[in-house]
Amino acid sequence: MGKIYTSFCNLLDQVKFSLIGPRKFCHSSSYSHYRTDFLSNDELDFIVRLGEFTPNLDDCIILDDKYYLKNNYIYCIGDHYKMLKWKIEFKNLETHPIHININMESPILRTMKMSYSLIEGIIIDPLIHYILTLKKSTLIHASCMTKNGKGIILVGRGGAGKTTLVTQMVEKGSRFISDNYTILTPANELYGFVEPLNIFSYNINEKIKSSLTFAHRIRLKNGELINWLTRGYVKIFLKIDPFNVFDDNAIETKARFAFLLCPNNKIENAELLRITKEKMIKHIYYNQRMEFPYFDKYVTTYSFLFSNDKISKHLVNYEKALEENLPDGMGYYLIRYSPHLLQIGDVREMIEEVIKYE
Amino acid sequence: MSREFNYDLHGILKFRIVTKSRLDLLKDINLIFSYFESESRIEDPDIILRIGRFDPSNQHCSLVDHKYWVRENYFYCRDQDGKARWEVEVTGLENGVTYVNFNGHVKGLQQVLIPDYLAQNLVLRPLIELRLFERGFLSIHGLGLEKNGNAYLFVARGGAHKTRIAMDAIGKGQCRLIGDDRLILGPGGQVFSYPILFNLFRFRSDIMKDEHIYCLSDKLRMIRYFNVQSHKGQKTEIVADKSKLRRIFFMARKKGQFELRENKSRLEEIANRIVSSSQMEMNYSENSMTISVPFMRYMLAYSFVFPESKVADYWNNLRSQFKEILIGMPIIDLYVPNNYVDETFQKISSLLNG
Repeated sequence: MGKIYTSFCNLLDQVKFSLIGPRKFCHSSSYSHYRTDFLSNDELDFIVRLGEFTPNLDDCIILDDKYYLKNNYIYCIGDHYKMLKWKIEFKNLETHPIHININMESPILRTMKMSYSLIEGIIIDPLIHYILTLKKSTLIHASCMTKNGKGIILVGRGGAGKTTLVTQMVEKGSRFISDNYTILTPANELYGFVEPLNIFSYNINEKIKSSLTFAHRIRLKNGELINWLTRGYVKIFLKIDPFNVFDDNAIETKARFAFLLCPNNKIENAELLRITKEKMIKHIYYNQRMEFPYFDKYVTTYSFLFSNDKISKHLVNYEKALEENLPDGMGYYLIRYSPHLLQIGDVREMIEEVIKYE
Repeated sequence: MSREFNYDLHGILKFRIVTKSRLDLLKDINLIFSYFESESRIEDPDIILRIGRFDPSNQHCSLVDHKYWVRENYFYCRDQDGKARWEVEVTGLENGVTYVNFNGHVKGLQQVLIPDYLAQNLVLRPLIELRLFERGFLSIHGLGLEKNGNAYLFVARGGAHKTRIAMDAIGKGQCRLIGDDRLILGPGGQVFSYPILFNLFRFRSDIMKDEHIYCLSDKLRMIRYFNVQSHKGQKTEIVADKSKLRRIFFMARKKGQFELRENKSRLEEIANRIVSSSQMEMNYSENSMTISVPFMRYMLAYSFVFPESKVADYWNNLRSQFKEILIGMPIIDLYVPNNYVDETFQKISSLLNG
């Protein structure tokens, strides 16, 4: 067993957490932007510890022969995604800091970066989302930029064109804020959730390419090779600091426009239509539901027994917070386009038109 | 070379399965709705499931996650999980007759012995749940037992000894079966039987001492039971097709003694708990073929494109319906000991009064 490290992160003074475990887990580039000095337990919202642990199964109710639950506590004896298997425990769900213990089953995969990326994606990111909602802010799966003081978010699923569009628009004068997640506060302010760009062969473009070092290019090629060898099963992303790619960036802006990106196949011309705030909220809500299926599942399991607890009301609270944080007077639009027919340039022009004249 | 199997669910919903599979050795596990099989062909089924190769008609679709193809009333995707891979297309997802095309493959012996199981578990069962709801009938996961025309529902997750309790209680003539996994709740508190994999339950009940079929000799006995005896006559003896909802229990396993507690929570909380169980069912499978049931993901992908559709509103509407049904209904929390003991079924039998 290697040495145990600890790191602390502070996200806009709204979410404070600590990571404990191997060095590469604690000092992962994913949250490097928010890393900070020591935070005491009183200040922390949650602590994630990667390593062996012994669950406390006294007085637990057993569901599906897989989950052990009691008030404030969830233990899952085994779960998996592709070849990665883990056990996980949540303690102090109602009284913070929430303690999460997670251990990867395979001793080999346990030390690999893909295990850490998995934990970030299925545990840490959704917990950040949960804590933000408790603090009445809303995490939105969207890229964000600002032009002439007007904040624009591009909402969409993975592969909808969030990163590509933001890159193109920044080249034409907008200022970059984020490419994947954005935080909307009750005061209608948009902040980027700053994390590395996940680059793979399909979302690379000229601007990003020009900022890659030689080492980056080698790693990218290796990732492509492994992906091809495993027939698409293993995907290794190259992580690069967005602030190295986009030199003129902003930290925050006022929310003014939201565009929902809907890729279609074989649509003749890209279409833009105005939609209501209510509809946009629902699109954003489902977009978020699809992001964290494992966390959703743990919460649903817990709410079978304790449907009145804070965490069981998470999704309802998220929808309410969206209603309160999204300004009524904001421009809400939906764009349908075909990535196959390379209509992304048209989409960019449509967006530029809208933001120019409102 | 296709065969058709027609089903009638208490006259509420009718559906058909069309498949090319020939081996009938394990027909009672391969086709899970045998209890509702209709001798005659049904002229106007609500759902038609066709198992086998097909050409998808997925033009003009929204693409979600590079994987789900969605347009109004239509869904298509290619998916995999655990040992199984499949592609599925649903036309008439919300309106009109539902046509399902399913082409799947599971690694191993299951593909030979029970090739049609996957399609029914992954897609047909959830679609039946949605279609039933449209007509005002709720499909609930749990154990249903009937006594003197009264239905007692035990809402319980997997591993709560539902099947074992049913085997013992019914085997000893204490009550009749509504379903050891699900039941159907209709307007006015009517409860309809929903015994999926009925002959498997009967085999366990008649021959086995407990619900686990582990060793080869048990499996051989099971095959012999399915293929030798004729059970049609005994059908109505142990199943209660219609009854009236009397009481609802939340049952779960816990280390320690048998525990009973009256639940005084608000309607909202109780309804949320039942809905959570239904959501878990759309997500979790108790068999080894796939790790999870993907239907919840499919519903979310469809809801992302059509957030004001019936599919998107299903869970909220289900919650409202439950709140209505639960008005004035006594709810009890039941904890059964970790290891099944005779006392468990005796205590449960004693609850089937009043």
